[in-house]
Parts: sequence; structure tokens; C-alpha cells
Amino acid sequence: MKAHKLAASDKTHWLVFGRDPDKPEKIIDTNQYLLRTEGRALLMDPGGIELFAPMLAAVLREVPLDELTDLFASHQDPDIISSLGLWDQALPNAKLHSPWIWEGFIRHFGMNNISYEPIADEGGNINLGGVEIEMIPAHYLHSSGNFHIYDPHAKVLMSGDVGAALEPADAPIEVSDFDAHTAKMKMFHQRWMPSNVAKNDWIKRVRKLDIDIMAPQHGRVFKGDDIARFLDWFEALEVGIAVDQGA
Amino acid sequence: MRKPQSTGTFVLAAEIAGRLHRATKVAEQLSLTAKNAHAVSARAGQQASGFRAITSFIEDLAVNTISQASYISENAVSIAALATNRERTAQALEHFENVENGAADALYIDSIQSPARAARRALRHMDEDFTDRLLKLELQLEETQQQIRAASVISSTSKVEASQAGNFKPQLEVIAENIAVAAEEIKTYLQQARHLLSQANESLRKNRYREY
Repeated sequence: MKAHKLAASDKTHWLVFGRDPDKPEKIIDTNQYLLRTEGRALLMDPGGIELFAPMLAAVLREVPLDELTDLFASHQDPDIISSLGLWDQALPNAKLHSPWIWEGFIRHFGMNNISYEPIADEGGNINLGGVEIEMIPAHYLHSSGNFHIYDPHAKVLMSGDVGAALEPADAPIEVSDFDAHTAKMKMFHQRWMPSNVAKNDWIKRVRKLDIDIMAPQHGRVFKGDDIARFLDWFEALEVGIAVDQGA
Repeated sequence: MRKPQSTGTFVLAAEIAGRLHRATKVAEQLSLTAKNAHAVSARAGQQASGFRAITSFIEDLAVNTISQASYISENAVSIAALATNRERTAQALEHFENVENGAADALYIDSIQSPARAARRALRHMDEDFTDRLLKLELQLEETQQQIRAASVISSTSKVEASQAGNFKPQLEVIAENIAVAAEEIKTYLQQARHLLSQANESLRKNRYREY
């Protein structure tokens, strides 16, 4: 599991973990994000059960376990949080922030120690030792209860499946040629995202944020002007295509 | 090193519960047969007086078997749940230890010690709990088996009594045969459950958490 420093502010430090060379075949490659503040850490979309050991090893290179106090699951998918039953034994005092609608589902992954902090539909904040981090609604993108994380200090948006791309596990961390990159994103967004209304609502909300880095759960991160390019591209893209194809 | 896996113990416990559930279902049929026997022998009057006397024994036996087998089945299900939790804890510990060895140079590797200790402690407690529960299950199974042995005696007696029931002989012989078949089926399920239990004990003995 490779770790890459993503961003830093006077209050927060971001790392991305991914591009695991030992990842079993046929498992989608995922990016896991760690946000550190003074004495606290938040692990976002910690990943599937197959990734637990390499993720744990990678985390221990960066932060002691007693400082890893918070987990965030943007939604309920197995590549997001099926490792929960193992984290539950590694971090017995941690909190899991996740959409309220998924509590009864996510608990199926095994949760005896960690406490579930349900996120209301309108979103909210996570206080990491006095540092406020925002949870931004992203419902139906792609899950019906879905959130992203916005760090206003480092100006990073962890955008879950929005901005995701399907590509080899050894792909670079950052987008370098936006136009070429759209080919890797198009089908994913059209097929996994169900609602144009939800998409446009999210774009409207995100355009109001001051973002330097947009960091999806699959594929590469966007920086600078590529973020506006992505929002324009996404706005023009028709999603939910399987319904039309099946009609 | 240690070997924390409890391969298949949770499956074995679930299988025991399955066998006992089937025994319960057969005992329910036996209970119906007993009620039927009671009605037929009442109609037969004096001709089946000997048979009538044993129908209440059969009914009691069926009721007891249903209640005991259900109780044991519930216990076996809770053992399967415990075994599943144990498996999960053992897997977590295995991951912790792999990380301890594979990422020994990680800056904060020592912080894995606390959850690893907790997992080892939990495994030891679960193994103790396991041993107790499997022993109780064995005693409960033995008790039910003894009861069902009595059913074999009753079924032989009922066959003799049926043969002396005059016009009602054919009907009562069918009932006596049903009793014999049900008792044999229950006996088989209980024997299978005992066999699975001994495998579960063996699995626990082999995989019991220990540090070398």
C-alpha cells in the first residue's frame, strides 16, 4: 500500500493510501484518505476486508492507533467499509460517521465496539480536537445516502465516487491531462450515478466551496483548474443511462 | 507462534442445531401419532385396552423430546454464534500479528500491542466459554438420547399390543410402526448430533488459543 502526502494546512494534514501492488485481482482499486489534526485522525472510506492488513500497516507508519479516533464511511458499499469488523477490534473506542440510513446495514459488517455516529441528511461537522471538518450531502451519488468530506482549512474535498475513474492499479495519483482522463470516468459516472437532478444539486453546492484538491475514492485526484473542468464536464454528462438502455 | 483458527467449529455447531431441529420435527409427528393412537384405541374400547395404556407414554415422550431438542438446538445456535465471533476475533488477531511482523519498522507499530492483547484475552475467554457450553450440550444430548431409548421399548410393546387389538389390529399396527420409525429417526439425528459434537470438541482442542 502506497502512501502519498496530498495536502496540508496549519490545522490539517492529508494523506492518500492506495495503488496496493498486492491487491487481489478483480478487486476495484480504492483510495483511502487519512486526515490528521493535532492528536487526532480521521480515516475516510477505510476500504474492504481484503485491504485491512495493508491499510493497518500503512496507517501505523503515520499515526498511532489511539490517535485514530474517527472513521468515515461515505456510504454502505463493501469497498468502502466491509473491513469494519476488523477495525472494530483495532479501534475499540473510535467513532464511525456514516449516513443515518445505512446504520442497520453497515452493522452487518460487524460492529461491537466502535460507536455509530449517524449523519443527518443535511450533513454536519466532525470536530477533530477543535478542528471542524464538514460532511457535505452527496445523496444518490451514487448511493441513496451519501456524503463527502470537505476540509475548509486545506481546501480538500474528498468526493467519494464522484470523479472516480476505472484504471489500472499503478495509475498516477494526479490527473495530468483532463481531456484524456474523461474517457476513464465517463462510463463509471453514467452507469453508477442514477440521478441527473441529484448530480446538478451536488454541483451547485460544490461550486460554492473553495476547493484546491478534489479527491475521489477511485482513480486520480484533481487539482486547480481541473476541478472546475470536472464540474462542467459532469454537469453536461447524462447519468442513469441503464434505464434508457433497458427501455 | 500460535494457531488461532477454529476451522469449521461454527459450521459444526450450526449443523448440530440443524440435526436437533429435524429431531424436533419428527417428535412433533410422533406427538400427532400419539394423539391418533389415543383416538383409535378409545374407539376400539376393550379390544385395545393394552394399547391405550401406552399412548399417554408416547405422548409424554414426544412432548419431552420436542422441548429438550428445541432447548438443545437453541444452545447449539448460540454456540455457533460464539464460534463465529471467535473466528472473527482470531482473524483480526492474525491480521494484527501479520502487520506486527510485516511492518515492524513502522513508526507507530507498538500501538498495535493493545488491540492484539485485547484480542488474545477475548480468545482465551471465548475458548473457556466454548468448553463449558460444549460440555453442557453433551450432557443435554445424552439425557435426550436416554429418553429416546425408552421409545424403542415402547414401540416394541405397542407392536405386541396392536397384534392383540382384534378388528383394530391393522390400524394400530400402522401406528405402532410409525412410532418405531419416528423413534429410530430421532435416535439417528441425536447420534449424528453427538458425532458432530465430538468433532466440534476435537476442533476446539486442536485450535484452542495458545501461545507457544
